[in-house]
Amino acid sequence: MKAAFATAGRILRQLVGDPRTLLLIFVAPVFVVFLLNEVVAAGDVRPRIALVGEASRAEEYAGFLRDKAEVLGPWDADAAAAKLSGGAVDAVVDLGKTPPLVTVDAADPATSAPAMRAIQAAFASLASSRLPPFAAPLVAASKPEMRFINGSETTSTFDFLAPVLLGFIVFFFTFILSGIAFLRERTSGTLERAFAAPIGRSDLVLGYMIGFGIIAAAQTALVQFFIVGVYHAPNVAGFMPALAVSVSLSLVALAMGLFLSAFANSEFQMLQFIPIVIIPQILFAGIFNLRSGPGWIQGLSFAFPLTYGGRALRDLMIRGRSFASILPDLAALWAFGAAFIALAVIGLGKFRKGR
Amino acid sequence: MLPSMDMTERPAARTTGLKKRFGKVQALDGLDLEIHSGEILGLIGPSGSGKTSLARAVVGLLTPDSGKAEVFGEAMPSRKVLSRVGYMAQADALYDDLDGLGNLCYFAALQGMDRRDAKRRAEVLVDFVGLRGHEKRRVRDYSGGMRKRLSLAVALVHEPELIVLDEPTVGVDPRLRLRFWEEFRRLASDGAAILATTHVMDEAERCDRLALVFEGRVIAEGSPDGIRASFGVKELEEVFLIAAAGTASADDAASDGRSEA
Repeated sequence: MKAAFATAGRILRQLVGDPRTLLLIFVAPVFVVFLLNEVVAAGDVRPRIALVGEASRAEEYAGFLRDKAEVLGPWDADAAAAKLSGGAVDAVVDLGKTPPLVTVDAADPATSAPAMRAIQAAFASLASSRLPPFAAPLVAASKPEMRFINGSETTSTFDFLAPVLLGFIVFFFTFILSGIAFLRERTSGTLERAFAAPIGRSDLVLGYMIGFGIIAAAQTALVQFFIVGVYHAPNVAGFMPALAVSVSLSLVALAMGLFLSAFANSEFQMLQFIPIVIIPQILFAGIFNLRSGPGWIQGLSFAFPLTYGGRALRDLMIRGRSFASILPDLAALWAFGAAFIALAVIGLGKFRKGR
Repeated sequence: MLPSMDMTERPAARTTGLKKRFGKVQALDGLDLEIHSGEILGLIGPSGSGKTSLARAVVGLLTPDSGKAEVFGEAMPSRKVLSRVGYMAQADALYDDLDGLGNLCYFAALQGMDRRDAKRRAEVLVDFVGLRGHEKRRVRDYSGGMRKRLSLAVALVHEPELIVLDEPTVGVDPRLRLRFWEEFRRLASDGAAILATTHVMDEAERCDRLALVFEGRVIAEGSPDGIRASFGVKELEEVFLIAAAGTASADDAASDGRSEA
């Protein structure tokens, strides 16, 4: 136990002696969060819509469209079609036809979906404005009222991605850092030297768990603070439950890093685990809905810790479920962690001989 | 040989019939050796002759295929006696991101020493290996010789009774090398048993006893003068030439028997 604490302390002191890695741990994730926020915010675009038809009708319709889209025209039909195929506009509304003809560039859902919504809303507003004043309540009555659960109309892509991102960042950094740190113990000979002292294998692994666990907890808290506090992603369940999940996730990553580092002979070989161990997990972390995926994909998803971590974080942060309801996912993470810790300790048997 | 040494005493370490094969290479081929408290035993032999494997077997880092290594009466590998054993490997095995004192204190803690003892002992060793003034610098910025010195200090941090040094003076300048050997002598006269591998013949002269290792076996054992006398040679290296010639002619005879086995 004493050796474990000494090891944990040593890991933390090593980090202080390596400011560049320290910077990587705490600045890089914040930068990634910042970038993601900017990129997905840029993705929520104002569609560009061209109008075709008589000027007065176009102007009347444009009045309802302008707050949701950038309106161009009226142009003649051929010019509008050319602009559309050239990508200069996202949709063309031909008001000269009855009923009006809407042509949408469907290549990019990020522009076609908001364009269609804006066009439909504008037609609805146009229709109700033409009715005599006494009919207005009727129209209002026929308009459905919308309610949203698990977020609101304004839930952005960033809000949706935030829990996944939190889980992934923690997983990725902890895996790489702990794996490479442990690998270096082996290649530099310090592991052998440690085992020339009367310490146990589990002392060393425990020391790593404590040392990197503290680093991961600090990192997680910082990333969570930025995602929720600075960029206002929802976190309905509160700070501590989400922290509990992401720290558990980081312990799994830590144990996996320690275990898998035994199969790498250099830092470069450690990085080769990224496409095998890390990248596939993104696919299962909740960015994509696997509900309609083939059975084997759904089955495979159970083999990845980030499936449980991502789901628990989304349940807590977006859906606002209780901590008790995500305990099964947390238990799954702990089971993964325990299994990899055991494997890591067994793997050290190669170096620590004797009782 | 020191006059005070008593060969009937239980040796600090003893190997019997130690064998270890790595793939096609028979690193240890039935190696018998005893190291006694109070003596410096020099292990000399060409590269690949099994010196490092022997050192690792003695500290329990290598499990032999057959035969055994005992340290203070305990069969290795055994964690129990490791706190009485100091080991310095060929690689420096230090933490680059810690300073010199940090390295010493960490390895002292692994040996079970408490903070205050570790700190006190570390300060003593900093002076001993001549790193005063550099003890608060990160090891990353150390020169090769400084790393070697710190590595030796780490091996001695818990005042071990058996000290296993694998090429302790490679890359160490001649002046410091002299100091190292003076210190080894002092540790031995305080009762420590020292096993040191070396290539350097003038270091061999400073050992109480030498074991000449060739192809995983001890081919000669005794004081430097005793070995020279019994082989009738002027230089210790010549013993290896004789041994190499011997195995070359014996190989033809032995290879048939070996391939059948």
